[in-house]
Amino acid sequence: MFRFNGKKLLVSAFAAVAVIIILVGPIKAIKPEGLSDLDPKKILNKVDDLMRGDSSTGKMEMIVQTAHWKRTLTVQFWSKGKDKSLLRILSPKKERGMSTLRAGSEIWNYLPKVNRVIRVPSAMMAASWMGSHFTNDDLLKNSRMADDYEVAVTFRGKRDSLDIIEITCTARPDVPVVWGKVLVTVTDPDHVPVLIRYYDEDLKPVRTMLFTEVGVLGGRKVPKVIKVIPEYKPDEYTVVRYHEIIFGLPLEDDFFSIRNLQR
Amino acid sequence: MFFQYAWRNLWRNKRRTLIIFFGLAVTSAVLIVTFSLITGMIRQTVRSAADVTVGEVQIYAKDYLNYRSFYSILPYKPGILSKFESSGIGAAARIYGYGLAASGPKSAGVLYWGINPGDERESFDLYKMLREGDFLEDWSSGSVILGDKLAKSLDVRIGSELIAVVQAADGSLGNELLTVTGILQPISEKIDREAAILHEKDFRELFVMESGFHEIVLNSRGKFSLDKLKASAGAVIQDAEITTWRDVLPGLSGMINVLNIINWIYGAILFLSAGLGMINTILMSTFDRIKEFGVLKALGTTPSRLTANVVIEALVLCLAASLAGAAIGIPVALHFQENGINISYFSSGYTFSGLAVSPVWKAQLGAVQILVPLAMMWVICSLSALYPAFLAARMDAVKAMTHV
Amino acid sequence: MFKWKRSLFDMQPQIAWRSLRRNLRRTAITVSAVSLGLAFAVFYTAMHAGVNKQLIEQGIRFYGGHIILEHPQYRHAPSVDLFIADAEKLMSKIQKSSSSISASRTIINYGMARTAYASDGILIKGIEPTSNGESPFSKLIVSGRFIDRERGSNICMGKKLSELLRLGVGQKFVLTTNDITGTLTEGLCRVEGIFETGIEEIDSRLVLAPIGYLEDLLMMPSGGANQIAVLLDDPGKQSKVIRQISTLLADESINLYSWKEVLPELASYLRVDQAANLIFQGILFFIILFTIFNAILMSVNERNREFAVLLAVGTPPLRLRWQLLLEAFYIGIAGCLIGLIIGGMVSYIFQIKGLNASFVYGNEMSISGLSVSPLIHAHVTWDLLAGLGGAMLVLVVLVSFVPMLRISRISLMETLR
Repeated sequence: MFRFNGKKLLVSAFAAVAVIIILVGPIKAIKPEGLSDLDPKKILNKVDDLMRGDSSTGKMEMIVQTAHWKRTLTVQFWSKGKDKSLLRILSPKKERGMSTLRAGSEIWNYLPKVNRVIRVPSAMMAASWMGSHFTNDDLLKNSRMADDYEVAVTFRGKRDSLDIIEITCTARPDVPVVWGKVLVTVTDPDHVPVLIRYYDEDLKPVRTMLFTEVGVLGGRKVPKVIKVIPEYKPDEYTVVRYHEIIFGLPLEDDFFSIRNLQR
Repeated sequence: MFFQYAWRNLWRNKRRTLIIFFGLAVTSAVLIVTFSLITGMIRQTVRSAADVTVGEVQIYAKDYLNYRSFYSILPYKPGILSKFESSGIGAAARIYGYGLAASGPKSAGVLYWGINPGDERESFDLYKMLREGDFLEDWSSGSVILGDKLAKSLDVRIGSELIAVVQAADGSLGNELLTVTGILQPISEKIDREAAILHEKDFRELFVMESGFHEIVLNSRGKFSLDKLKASAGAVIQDAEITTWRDVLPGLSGMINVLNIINWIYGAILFLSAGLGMINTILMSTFDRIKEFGVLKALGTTPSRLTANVVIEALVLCLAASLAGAAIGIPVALHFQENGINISYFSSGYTFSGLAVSPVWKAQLGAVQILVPLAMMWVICSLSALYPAFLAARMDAVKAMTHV
Repeated sequence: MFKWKRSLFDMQPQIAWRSLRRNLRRTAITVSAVSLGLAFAVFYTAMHAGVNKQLIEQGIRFYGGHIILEHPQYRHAPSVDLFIADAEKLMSKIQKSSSSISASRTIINYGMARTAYASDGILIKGIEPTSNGESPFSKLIVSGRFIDRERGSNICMGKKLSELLRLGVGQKFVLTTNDITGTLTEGLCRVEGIFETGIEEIDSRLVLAPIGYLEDLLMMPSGGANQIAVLLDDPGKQSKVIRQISTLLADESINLYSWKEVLPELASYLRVDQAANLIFQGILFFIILFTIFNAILMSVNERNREFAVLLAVGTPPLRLRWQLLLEAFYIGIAGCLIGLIIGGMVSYIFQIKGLNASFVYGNEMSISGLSVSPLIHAHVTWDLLAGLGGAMLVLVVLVSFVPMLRISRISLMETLR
């Protein structure tokens, strides 16, 4: 018998809607964030700015291992913006007081033993800083990876029991960078760098930077240890360990002067 | 008896004899001088390379020459150098390292040398090659000597201060203040552009290098052959790489070969030309005397005796003329050996295979330079006298007497 | 006077000729002394000229041109900011002024080349690849190709440089340099081709780029240049062309240099080589002439009687001297002609075929930074032949003067005893 039961219909309707809500809602909530939700450029900028701020200062320890010797330096550093930095060696005794100033596109070294300042000629820009695997150029680098490369997220998930995001940066054809490809791996979701690997044009790995011992320094979550390994000299490496950093310190521009270099 | 006869015969026709005499004498003199000049040029070129710094033989650690790694050091024991010196071979040991040299606003990449000034003075001529200032003292004093072009590009003078900055052997940044006490003349392109020479002690302090050498160079100043030197080197130092200046300076080696060949070709042509002339005159004079020979034959002189007479005559004349020629040629050659021909009027300096050429061209006079021209003169004379003498000896006496 | 002169020409030539023929062997030997010496002199000079010509051509092609134009302060302290702003305009004016010259412009700067593995200092030259016929470098490419465009960042570099930087054809490097305002600037370049000249300085330092690329990178005004190089089809016209160009430049502050000023070491070597050549030729000529002198003296000596008789019967000494002169002249002419023909032909053969001296000095010899090829080509010119032949002839004739004087001193009394 067709009898219109209004009350029964309403309940069914509610029930139907409820079912729909119950079913669809969580699905929406459960659906994982896709790769397309990530902005690799933002992540890279964050990595680039990790150790820069508007200004910062701190202390680090550098261990260099080469085929012929092994040394440890302690270095005090100041940096402001993209193109000013001052590094001063505190130990060992032989090099205590040696400083490197970067202002604009010039680099100066102060040598306390002879009490002289010399300008590092552009020919030496690619030379290593104090024998380490960092070059004078590395200290200056103010370029942004996001600008110089085509970037894309190529992996997101667990690797070595760590949640990571991997970004592949492919060199743009006309941008002056020596690398063919750079692989940047950061933690998910804090975007703290884990590994940066540089490849030549033939996509052979040339240099690897490892970031470990993530902790809080100066109020930021940063890797305290950076290790640089040249791939074609696997027995050699340089390790930098940050002991303290203060971000946002007010530093005047003229702090980064040759006069100050000699203090 | 032969001699007397020959002598008298010569003086019979004074004019003719004198003409030939002068011809032979002048030619001999010119040949002696020319040979000395060319030999001098060759020797100068070799010595200029070997004697200044390169040495005749060089000794390196086995793989040093491939990459010139600072750490490829020779297994050195004290007393090695004196082993060579006691055999009459000059020796010096050196160390090298690349680094930076800065003076005021200017800086340049240089190759620092660590040398022992005493050893260098004894066995090499580098200390003579200064265009300004003095060579290093025997003790370490923070002095540095720069190559010609390097000094110019750093804009330094004697007494200028130079800051040396290098990657030391232990990885630290070596730095020292140096004083420029000498600037070299142009020697070779490499040295001119990048050499900064220090006392061995100063080098070791700068580079934190306690011991060892990169290079040992030997120089016997031409006394021993290259093979003998290589053998000596191998006997004293085992398991090292041993080279000669010919390996290290192949361009120069090539040039020496060229000069040697030119020497011989040129000498040959000169002799031929002179020889032809001399043959001519001697032939003429000999033929003139065919009548004479006829008479002699008729009187019973044997053909062989006749030939002998003629040849001896020619030789006597030749001997006298060559002595006279030597008497002129030797002093002239000696003058050029001492003073040389100064070609700096023509040239402001150029390089052969990377080595600067000395503007003074010196001759070198030795037994060879005198005897070879003279010997060839004698050969030509005897030959040119033999032919007509032989003819005359075989001629019928009557025919000869009535020869017109 | 008239009659006397005519008679001099009348008989003497034949007498001279006949007296030479009388003693054929002596004449032959004397003539061959002259011809042999002259032939060698020709060959020696031609070979030297060939080597020098090769050096000059190399120097000019690799280091600029026959004539170079620059900013007045550039030579003293080369710097990219010392440039000629309207070089292109000037070039077309120069090319219009003569048909057998071509001009090209170059931008020159120092910089660094960096790869993932190494870095090195370089000299970078922006060139106009399509003008000036073929660049000498295009023939020395060992891999890849020569650049042929005016724009684009593909470059050519020397082989030693490519080895140091570990670069192959198609690979990239970063170029760092200062632009004309002194600001550091960077660009990306790719290797289009690798060349090998054998000159170490060039192979380990030089990078050639299209001039348009450097104009943009260094902020050089379009059409500007650090150097304008002028190449001449006929190097002999150099002074004339220099004058022409100087008038064109009258009101502009631009300096003009010949290649000798740009390559003073080479010019030095050439001067010394010429001096040494003169010395050696001098010695050679001296010896030849001395022996001829001897021969003529001998021939006079043996004709003492003859001359005495002739003088006694009234022959003017002048006639006899004239005869001697003619004899010398004939010997000279014969010797010179034969010598020039032999020397000229042998030199010409080596001009075409070249002499391979690699067994002597291989590939390694260099003079003032320019490599000497082991294949030597002689260089024979009419000037060379005429010069040497003429000199020999004149000297041979002059050499007869002293014996000539002897004639008048013949003591009739003594000789006719």
